Amino acid sequence: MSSALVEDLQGLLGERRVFADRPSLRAYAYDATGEKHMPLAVAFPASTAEVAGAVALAAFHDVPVVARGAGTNLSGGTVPSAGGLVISLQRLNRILAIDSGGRRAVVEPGVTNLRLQEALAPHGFFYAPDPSSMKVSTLGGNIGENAGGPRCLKYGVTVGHVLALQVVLADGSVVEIGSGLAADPGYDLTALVCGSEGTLAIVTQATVRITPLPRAARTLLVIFADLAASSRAVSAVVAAGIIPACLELLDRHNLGVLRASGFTAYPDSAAAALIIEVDGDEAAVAADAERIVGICRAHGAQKVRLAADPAERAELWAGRRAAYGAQARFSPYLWVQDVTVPRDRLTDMLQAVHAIAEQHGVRIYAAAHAGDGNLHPVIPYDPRDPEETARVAAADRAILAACVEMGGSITGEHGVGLDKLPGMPLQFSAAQLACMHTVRRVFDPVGRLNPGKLLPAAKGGF
Amino acid sequence: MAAAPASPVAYPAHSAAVAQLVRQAGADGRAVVPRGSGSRQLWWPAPAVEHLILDLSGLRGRPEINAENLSARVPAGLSLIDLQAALAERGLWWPVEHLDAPAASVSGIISAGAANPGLGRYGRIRDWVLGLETVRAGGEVLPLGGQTMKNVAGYDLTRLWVGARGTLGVITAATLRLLPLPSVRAGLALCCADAAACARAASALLALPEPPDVVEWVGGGPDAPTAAAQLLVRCDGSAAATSARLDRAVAALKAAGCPWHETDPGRLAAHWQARADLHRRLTAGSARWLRLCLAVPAHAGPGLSERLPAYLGGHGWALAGHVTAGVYTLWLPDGLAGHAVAALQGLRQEVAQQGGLLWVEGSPQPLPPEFGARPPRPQDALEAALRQELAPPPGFNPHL
Repeated sequence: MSSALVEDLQGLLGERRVFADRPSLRAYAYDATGEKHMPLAVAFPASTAEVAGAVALAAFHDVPVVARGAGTNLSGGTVPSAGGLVISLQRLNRILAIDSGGRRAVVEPGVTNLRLQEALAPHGFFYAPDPSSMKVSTLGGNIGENAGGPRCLKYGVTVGHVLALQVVLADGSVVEIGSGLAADPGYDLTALVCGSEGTLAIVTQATVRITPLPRAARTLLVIFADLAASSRAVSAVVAAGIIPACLELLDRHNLGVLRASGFTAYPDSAAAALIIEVDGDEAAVAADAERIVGICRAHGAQKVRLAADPAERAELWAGRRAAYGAQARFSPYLWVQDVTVPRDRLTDMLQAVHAIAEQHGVRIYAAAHAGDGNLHPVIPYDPRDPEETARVAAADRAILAACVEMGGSITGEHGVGLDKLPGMPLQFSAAQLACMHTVRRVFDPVGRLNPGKLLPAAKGGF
Repeated sequence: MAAAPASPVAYPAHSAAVAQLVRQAGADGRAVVPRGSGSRQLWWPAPAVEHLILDLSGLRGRPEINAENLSARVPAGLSLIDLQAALAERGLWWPVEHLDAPAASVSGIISAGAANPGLGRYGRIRDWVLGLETVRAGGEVLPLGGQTMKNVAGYDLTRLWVGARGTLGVITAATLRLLPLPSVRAGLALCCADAAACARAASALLALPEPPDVVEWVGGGPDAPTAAAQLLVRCDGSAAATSARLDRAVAALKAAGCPWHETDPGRLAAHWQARADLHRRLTAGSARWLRLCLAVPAHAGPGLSERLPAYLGGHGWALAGHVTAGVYTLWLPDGLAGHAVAALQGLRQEVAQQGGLLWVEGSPQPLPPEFGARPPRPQDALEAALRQELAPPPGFNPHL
């Protein structure tokens, strides 16, 4: 069956745009989680019609399909765990229109987030979602995961910036959903597909909202000797009526690895650092920054540094952006979580994470999009050590359970993929999961698209 | 002549009672018609006598406000005006306004996905709803979403329910995302001699890098209870920021040849009140009116508004629009009686050519078959299949 599929795909796309040899397939067997499953073939369509043709061929040969962008997924969402055909969307990489009057852009899914930002800047606009992977992750992947990022505190996550989609369904048919307008009648299928991790449809074109670049921005680095005080300061800033563009938190362990990696802004005595950015009108930004300084000092900040110029702003951000890389320097294997709690439970969740680390004998680095209550506990481990891996897995389950108990979500921006499937029954009842399965069957009755992801298998289902 | 028999109405006081009534209605083969404050109950022909109207006004109470999380859990029957008053006491607001029906229930507004004057700045209602408690067909209570700002676990069923007009189930409570109450709401009003001047002014405001948060177009035909054309402008935020933004708006208006405007708070309030009264004044005492929604890319709105008389002629009509979002409401007080269906079909065609949509939001009279409530869309088959599977007949709101 696989050779017949490959032959048909080569007939559609040409031999150079279909991989079926093992060395090439190996490169598409994994994503940023490291879990590996070999696909049968990888196809590189360059148009919606070619994507539709490839999906139709997969349907004809009864083979699963996994759509893939840059493979930066942190939940195993693009790992072809059921084998089948991987459709790489990287050749659909055109920015089709920038309509500054209509405040929208039309893009193909293989455009990277950064490329869109660079194309928009000369027009005086930006695209608000800014996942940490934005230099390489694609907009198709961002839409599939409903990606977030530091700026989402003020601007909202991806779904709020997607106006319309062109998608290919599991039978190879092409459908336009949404209208690209600020209002339309009918169900919001755009929001449903956004974040569906490629299980409902494959996005081949997106109309996205673009936002005017703010007139001014101020960035602060605030150091605290006490973690709980830092998260209380986060709540106090929001309670004061200020919605910063970004409100990021790094804990003691992160600051330690950053110091060891040459970042000198964090003293040994620091238990937490906040990176806070406000943007908007010049006068409002200056006033907000001043108020934030006062609030942080009132909550016991050790040190407050306000960036004086763009170079210093970049320097303050550098540590936050380098945190994951700094962790990886000390352990090549990292177990990454993405729990989100109501903002008022952030302090409780941080304390719970550190208690769980102690209880299970693991080290946990905690970084957070603190303003959103979105926490990324990262656990370094060695997968060759089964005993340590078991402790890490137990800590992972405990963190997910604590998050759900606090009214949170097991994933705020990384998606469920394979990684968080076991956590889904913690957060959702059988009835809620059944409702999601119903939605999935409407779009994809046989479960062809990205099977085994996002939803735990239904009884007798996929 | 005897009055037509009315549908039965039930008044549940909590979600368990809603679930019991929905279960019983399903067993009896009755469709359920959820009703919030009833602000839209006259927008469509009366439900069939065999349907059960579920009046949710009894699901009331204080909102549970979590100021630190900027969220509130709200019972379905709470009115928008009461919600905003309770939030204001805590220095918060839900950035949703409903000019035509400020006393509408929160669940009704969410179900309708109602457009909002601040749509251009704050986005759709769906982005301000974190979670819902719903009752599905069969009487199952089904919570959707949650209470966190970010949540990508599973499919986003919350946004699917928002704007579904009650066709997928009954909303019994909602968890809303909030914002700090702006310290200042400053504005101006621009009364123009004609629609052309108003369109120039609106285009000038739209061309600003950061347009005002609200730019409301109010205009109409010769019989409309409105000025020929008027713009109501508002900026929300701190005193410094709103002042700077309004200064830029005034400069843009001057450059567009529209130097004169009003800023007197009393006069502004009167203009806004007149706008809020439009729907009531245009529909009172009539069962013939038609209310349409017209959505276009924002920059196409002013020009289209200017050309409306070419389609609607000298007959009675009025228009109000959220200019920065490109979403307008068009009222025809005499319904299709004064307007040829062909004229509206022509308007629908031009709207489509501009990349927009024109659909009917309310008509107490049945529509003629040649003018459907909404134009066909490519996603219709998926919508129909979702409705069939998630809320099979007898289902909810079968007339929609």
